Amino acid sequence: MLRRLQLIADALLHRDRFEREMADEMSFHMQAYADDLMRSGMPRAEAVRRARLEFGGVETALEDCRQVRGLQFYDQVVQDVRHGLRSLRRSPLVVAMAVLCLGVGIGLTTFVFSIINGLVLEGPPFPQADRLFTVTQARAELPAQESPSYSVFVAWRAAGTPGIELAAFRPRSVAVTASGSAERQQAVLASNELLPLLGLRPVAGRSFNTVDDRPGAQPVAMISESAWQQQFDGRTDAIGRVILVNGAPHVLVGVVPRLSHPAVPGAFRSARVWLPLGSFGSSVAEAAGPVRVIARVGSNASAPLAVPTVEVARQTLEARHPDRDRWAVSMQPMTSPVSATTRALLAIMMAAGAAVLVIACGNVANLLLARTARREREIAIRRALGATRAQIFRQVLAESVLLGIVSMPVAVVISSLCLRLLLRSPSVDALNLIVTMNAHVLGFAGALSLGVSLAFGLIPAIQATRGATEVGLASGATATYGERRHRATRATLIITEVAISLIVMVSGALFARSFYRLLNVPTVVDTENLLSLRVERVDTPRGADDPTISEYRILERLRAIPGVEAAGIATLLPIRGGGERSTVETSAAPTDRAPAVIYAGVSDGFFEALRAPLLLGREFNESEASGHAAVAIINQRAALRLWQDAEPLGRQFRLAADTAGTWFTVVGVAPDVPNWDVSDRPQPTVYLPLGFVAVDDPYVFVRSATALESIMQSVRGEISAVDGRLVIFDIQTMKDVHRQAFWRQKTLGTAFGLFAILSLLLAVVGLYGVLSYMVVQRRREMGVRLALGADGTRIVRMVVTEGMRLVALGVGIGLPLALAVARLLQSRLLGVRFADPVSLGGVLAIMFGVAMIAAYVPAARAARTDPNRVLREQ
Amino acid sequence: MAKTTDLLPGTLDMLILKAASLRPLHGYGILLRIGQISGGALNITQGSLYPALYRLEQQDLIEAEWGVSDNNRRARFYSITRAGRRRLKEERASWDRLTAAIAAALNTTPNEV
Repeated sequence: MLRRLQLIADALLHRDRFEREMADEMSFHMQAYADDLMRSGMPRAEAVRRARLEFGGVETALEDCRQVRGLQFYDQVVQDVRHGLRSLRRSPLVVAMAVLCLGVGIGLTTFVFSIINGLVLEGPPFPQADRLFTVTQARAELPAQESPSYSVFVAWRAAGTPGIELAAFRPRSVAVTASGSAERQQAVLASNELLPLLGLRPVAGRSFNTVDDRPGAQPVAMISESAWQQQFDGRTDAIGRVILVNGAPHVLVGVVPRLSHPAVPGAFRSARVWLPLGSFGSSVAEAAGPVRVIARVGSNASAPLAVPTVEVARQTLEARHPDRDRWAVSMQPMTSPVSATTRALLAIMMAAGAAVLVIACGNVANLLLARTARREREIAIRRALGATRAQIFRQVLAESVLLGIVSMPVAVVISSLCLRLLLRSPSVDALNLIVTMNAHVLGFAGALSLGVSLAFGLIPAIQATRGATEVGLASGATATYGERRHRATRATLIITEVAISLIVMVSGALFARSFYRLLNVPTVVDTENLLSLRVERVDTPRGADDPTISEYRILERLRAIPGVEAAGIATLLPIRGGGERSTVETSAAPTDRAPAVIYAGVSDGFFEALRAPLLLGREFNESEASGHAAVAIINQRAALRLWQDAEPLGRQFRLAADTAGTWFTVVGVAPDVPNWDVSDRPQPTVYLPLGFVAVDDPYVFVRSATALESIMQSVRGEISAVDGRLVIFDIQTMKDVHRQAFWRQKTLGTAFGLFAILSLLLAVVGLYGVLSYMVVQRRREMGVRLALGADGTRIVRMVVTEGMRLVALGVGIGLPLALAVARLLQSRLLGVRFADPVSLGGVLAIMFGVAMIAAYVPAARAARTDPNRVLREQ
Repeated sequence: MAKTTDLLPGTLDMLILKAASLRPLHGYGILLRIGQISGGALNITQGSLYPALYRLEQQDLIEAEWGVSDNNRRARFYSITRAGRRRLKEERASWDRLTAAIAAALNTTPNEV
């Protein structure tokens, strides 16, 4: 096989030598034969003649040899390509139109593919990620899964776990000083096994070793690739530099590769610093604290992972748990596949991209059809001269393929532009995309260009070769038979385009309206001029008598800033998330089906800062907020859930999660502030005094009377003035928080809006092209009509009616389909019904309006036809 | 001129392989050798030899190399490959079976039927 290819390649690459040697070989043959003949006494001239005669046709023999080597096919392809290029060069306008249409269609599809490729196809960056599991433990009597403590991990490590590799990590936020001022950064405290277990090699330097991971070791750190790029410009001499982590010097030993795939645990994605788990901080004090334990199961790398292997591993870990009588161990896959919602979103976008591509292909097929029709005579002549049907077919197809190849770079440019647009929008933080134009994407664009150009090229190629030879020749310039046939094909294409475009437009309009509706869903919180930030004290561990954040009296200082109207602290971020879950027991009727709520700690003035005034009762006062009284504020939904219609004020409840079992008395009812997303139903939520639910890094809310920029500096200054060890992070306006809450709808809305506009444009351009062509074809008819006294208005009406007829047919077919598709999309539409009259009416009005303009231009041109000239032309 | 027979389709390849199996030969030499071993009884259009040679080379049954002929001219010499020998053996066996079968059929006398 290899040798065969080598022979063909040799012949192709050294074509001259191949030809020369072939000719040499045959002339040697005739020469030798002639010599032999002369030796037997034949005169020279006679011998040469005989030798040539008996050899037979030299050209035939040469051609046969070429064919054997596969060169004939190659020669024909070269010829077709050359012919195609020549004939395309003659009509640059057609080429430009076709390349633009194809570029847009293929570009959009490639753009969607690049997202799918980045998110779904490439998978998490860990080799054999399906063998990675998160290990959790649960008390025998409670189903809640917990992370094992560091001491459990150390015990497993000491006991040894055959067939299982174990590693542990703990996310942490630390203050890092690389150059200049301290910065709050996310860190991962990793046991020395973690990176090798994940299969990650450091980009530079080395990973942690067992020495680094021991308590009291020389402090070392690794940084993430992006931090390395930003702070050290990716220089390798960064290795060995000293950075300050929480004030203590750490030597940089390595760089952790980029981990931005959405299936990667969030802690790894956001980490900028990696520190050894066993030696960072005071590990003795934190031995009881939870760590996330990761297991790699099955050492036989090539065999597929069997379920029993995982079960065996689980039992091994359970048997070696230091407190095995009380804890049950379980294992869950570490990397989660891309969520079904995201997959569905991508599928919808891909379908829309494909629809635009189909419309684009319809246009190009139409352009090429018009060309073929104009060349009917040329084709007829060539066939009469002996060109076979296959040759003509191949040649017409070659033109399409050339168009496909030329449009590929245009498509790549368009899809990169789309990508850049997408990556610039703030919603991508939520998507956390790592999408690039890599080899896969380019390959996809190339294959798509070729495949698509073959597909749309078939239509004109079939049309060109279907007719009988005589028709084309006999009918001359006004080929009526072929013309009628072409017109039907073109009309069908336009009707299809309009129908598909209608589907995309209706979906686009619905998504856009859904997004617009969401933007205007009341958030309860007044997001204008509201700042949210988080505060944490950096040096660990905190001593027993150190104040908590809420004890720092930050709020007093913030409220004193001129321009600040209110300030509050909470352990959750409205609209975005946070808070803990627990079941509730009420004093009134302890039911067996205890309702679940979200609970969070809030300070005094929290609802005032949100401008979400309580519906009943009052906010906590300062002493209550710091934990001196067991009071609570509940939201409307919780009130409804816990006490139905009864008056909630003064009633009592306690949380299953509260081990002290404190009974809280309701003192206020708050409105339903969105918990996560404005589109979700608010959850029953109870707000407890901050003193009961203290966390190390709560959210601080500052309500300003004026623009937030004016108070930013003072806010930072006041907080630092309280204690220099306090670090501010995650500063964002509540407006941004609100905006990020519906990135999914926004992505769909914008992408579909773009797709809808482009599909409309393409379909209308196609209509314009068909009508213009029809007008040119029927010049003579128009001329005669005008000469016989028809006025221009009539001609305009005739052409426009023809165009509208096509659009109406397309709409007739497309509308039921569009409704069917919209119905499928209903679950992703928020606040809009699929049969939304505004969207449908708007789309139809736009479609007919734009089509009318597209039809009017060629119609007006037809009306201006000069009968004298046209009639004389014939 | 001796009485000649046109080649059966597919037999030229076999003859070329046979001719080239003895020693490397150029195209004309192969033609001569076929004529010699067949006693001049086979009729081959000389030009049709070359496409056959190129095809066999493509199929890796023979290989070609430039050399110098007896009368000191540059010529392309063909020699059989191992795959070629294997093929020749197979063709030979199937040819023998075919001729035996046909001979048996033709030699049948009426009372044997």
